[in-house]
Amino acid sequence: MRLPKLNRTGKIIRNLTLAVFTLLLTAWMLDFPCWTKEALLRRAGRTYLLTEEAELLYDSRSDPAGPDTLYARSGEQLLEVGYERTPLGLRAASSTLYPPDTWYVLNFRWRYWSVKGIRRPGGQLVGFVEHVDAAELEIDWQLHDAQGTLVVTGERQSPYCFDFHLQEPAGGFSEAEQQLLKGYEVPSMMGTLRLYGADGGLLAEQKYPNLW
Amino acid sequence: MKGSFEAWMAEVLRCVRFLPDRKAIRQELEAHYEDHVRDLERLGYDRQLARKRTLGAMGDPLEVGRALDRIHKPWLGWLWLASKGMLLLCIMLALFYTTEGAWRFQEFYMPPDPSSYEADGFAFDTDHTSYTRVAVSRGGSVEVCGYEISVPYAALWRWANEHGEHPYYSMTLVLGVRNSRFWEKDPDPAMGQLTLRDDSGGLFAASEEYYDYTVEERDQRWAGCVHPHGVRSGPFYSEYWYWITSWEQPPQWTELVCPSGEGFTLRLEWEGAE
Repeated sequence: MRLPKLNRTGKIIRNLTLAVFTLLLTAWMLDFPCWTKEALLRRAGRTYLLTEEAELLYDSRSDPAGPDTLYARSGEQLLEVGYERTPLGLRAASSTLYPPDTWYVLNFRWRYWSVKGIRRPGGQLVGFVEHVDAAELEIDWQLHDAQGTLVVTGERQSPYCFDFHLQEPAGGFSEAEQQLLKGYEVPSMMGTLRLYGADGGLLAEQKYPNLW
Repeated sequence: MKGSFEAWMAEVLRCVRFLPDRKAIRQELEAHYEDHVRDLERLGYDRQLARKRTLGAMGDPLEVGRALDRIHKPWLGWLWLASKGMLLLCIMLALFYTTEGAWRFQEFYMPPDPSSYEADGFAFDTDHTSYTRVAVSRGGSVEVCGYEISVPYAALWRWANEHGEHPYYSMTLVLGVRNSRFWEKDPDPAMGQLTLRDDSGGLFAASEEYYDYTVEERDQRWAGCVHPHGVRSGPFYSEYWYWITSWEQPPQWTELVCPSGEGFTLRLEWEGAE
């Protein structure tokens, strides 16, 4: 069968029709990406049958190698949506609706960032932490032949987020700490998160037996 | 004389504003010119004269050029080129992402005939003859967050050992979810949190919560568990299969409860079961 010979207008219409079709196909393959973060949150909320519009609290890159993450408030609950950027928009990768009694989440990474080849563990604390004045993370680490404690102070990034990253102390890291940060051995880490109010009082303390 | 034709051609092409078409126009006009020259030569004209006459017949270059420019509109030409580029880009994108998501081509699940559900026996153990279907039921439907959720099929199964002893009952249940927004995902997280209660006050926990507890704690808290057993998905309709264990006596009614978000409750009547 011979295809009809098209004039230029016909070719344009054919090309645009095929382009729209292939774009739709691609969008389908990408789960029909959203154009805005609000739409992404709305869509994630619906999968939990949430009717209330989720309010975006914070957009973070929780893991340099992983997806970006949106944190939102839906009613009294914290909604976390991991997402990827695609050529056609934002695509949800994962979602978690935390129970009503969870008002913050700590995402900790062993390889959070690095300076001159030295790994720096760290992470982010995100949630309804507007009233928290200071956050502190105590890390008890252990290698097969060394152990120690690191204390990381959270830096406020937004009303809803504290960022934890290990800074080099004035006197430099100890030998054991250098072994931890430069070596290839994966340590076991136990964490204790403490949140303080404006009056210095302890608002919350949570232990993480396996920090990462 | 050939030189004169070149000058004529240059003048024509100068009038055509859409540059990418000039090459094709040149080829066409040259072919036309050569054909005409050959025709005249066949009639006995010498080559020189044939060329001269042909050039005269080609017309005024400005007039021809303007006419060609009207046909080869620059905006239409650029639009055509842009559409070609766009199509190429879209095809490359589609090829790249189609390989990633090709499994979706299997996803055109449509609601089956309700009588075909478990027609061949207990869905999760079809070879097991110890299971007997003792009752079949179906529930109503609710609309939540744009999803129409219903129970098109539920069955109570009785199990007993080879001597007909130690019987117990379990339930298989299909939850159908119609979603007119085909571009959105199914409510999988909410469907994973389904619980069940029955007429005797028994509570059946969602499996994601149930297995967080020890066996003793489970026995104290709940009568059993709602196990998600699989999903069949299509763009507009998905089915969630559950297996709910277990009862010593068949229930009179059961209520399926989804606690997530707006939530919903769907009641199933089992009266007349054995």
